[in-house]
Amino acid sequence: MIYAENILLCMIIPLVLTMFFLRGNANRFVLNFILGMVACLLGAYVSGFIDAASGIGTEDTAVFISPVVEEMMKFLPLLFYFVMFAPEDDKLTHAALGMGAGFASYENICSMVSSGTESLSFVLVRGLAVGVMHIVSVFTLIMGLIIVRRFKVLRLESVIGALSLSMLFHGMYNLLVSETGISSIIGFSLPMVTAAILYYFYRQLRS
Amino acid sequence: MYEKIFTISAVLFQIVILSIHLFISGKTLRRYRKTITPVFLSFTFVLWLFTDLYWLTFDLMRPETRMPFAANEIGEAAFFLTLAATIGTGVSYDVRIAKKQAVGAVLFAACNTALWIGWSGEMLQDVFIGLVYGLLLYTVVCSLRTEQLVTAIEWVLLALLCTALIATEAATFFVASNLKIMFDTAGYLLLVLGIVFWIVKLYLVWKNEPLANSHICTVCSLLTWAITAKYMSEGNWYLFFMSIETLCIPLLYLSVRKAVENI
Repeated sequence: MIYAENILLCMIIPLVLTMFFLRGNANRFVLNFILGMVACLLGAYVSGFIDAASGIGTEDTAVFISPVVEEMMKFLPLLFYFVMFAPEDDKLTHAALGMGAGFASYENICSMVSSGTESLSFVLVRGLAVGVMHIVSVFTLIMGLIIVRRFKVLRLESVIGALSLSMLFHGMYNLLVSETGISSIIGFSLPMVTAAILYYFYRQLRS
Repeated sequence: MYEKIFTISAVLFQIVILSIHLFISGKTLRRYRKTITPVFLSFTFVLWLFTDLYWLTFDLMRPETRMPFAANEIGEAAFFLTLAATIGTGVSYDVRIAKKQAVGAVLFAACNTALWIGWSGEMLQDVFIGLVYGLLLYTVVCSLRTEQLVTAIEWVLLALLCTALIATEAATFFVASNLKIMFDTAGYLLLVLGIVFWIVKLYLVWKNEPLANSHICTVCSLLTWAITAKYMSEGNWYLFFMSIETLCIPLLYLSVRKAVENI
């Protein structure tokens, strides 16, 4: 058992202080980094509740339910920002990346506090796979929203479509790494490969 | 063992076809920016592809296990929504002239949902998918009625076919096991009859109707019937209906492409 709320407080205080001295994109990134960490904690609460209420088991909740809950938690603040402030593509991307990075960092810290940091391979896997996966999934979501806006198809169907894509990607990752062997190797390399592909598409979209 | 290999091969084949069409629909999207139908078509293809990939991963990693509520269900619901949006943007349908058909579609979707719950016992997932499936059916029948692609007699025959199908499938819950096989076979025959009807309709519409909107409607009708049939079947029948579903992918792309070229 770890005290996740205490860890969150400890991480948030210096970041909040930093925000007083920052302006523009940097400030936006830090704010979204904090929101990402809060979303991670709330996601853990909701997943924990579903685990207890549905009785499908902790492992199955982590593999099947958590991707849905976590992507929803990242999506809601971004949707609010997207709809209420209609930010430019770059600002939206910064916000999403901040959110993804905050979520991944907080999850990694909680995981390392509970499992220890003795094994370098474990720490690297957490950083290169789980960490990148959260950024890729939120980036997929935001690219969907940017495409939707660029082609003037901002409708419920397209927004749910973009959200579902990030959930499916996250879900597939969780499913692949849930067992050892070849599937977990594919799973751990999936975020980096997808990040490279997304980077190519992002460059295309910008041009 | 062989059935498993065939199922995985069929899904892999669908994934390949989807990937190819996603790539070319992306090119169409960049070329024809005047209309939004290709955007929804691309969304439909990408969601369908990811849902298939998720299902394949699950089936390979946890064979003989029923999937709990997962991202796959939400992906499938989003796929139905974007498919409905593809039809809705391709055909501007009028609900007022299709009231009877719309009620029929909603009732058919409700009966299907009840059957799914009966078969799987998964209330939450089936109601969730059933709602979106109902919306897809509603969009399909409204667009068919608006485009006047189905005659009055054909609507009656379709209503009879759907009623007979639901009655046959419902009967399998109550009859003795020796009669169950008979009812199951009858159900499959009705599903195949529906497939034949929509394939003939599609052929006639593609041959005689110059408007691409009509083509989108009939392809989506065939696809929706194939999805319905797939959800009601297992084993080799499942593979057969999945192959019809795969056949709809290039047809859907061609119909949307024709529609955007005409603008």
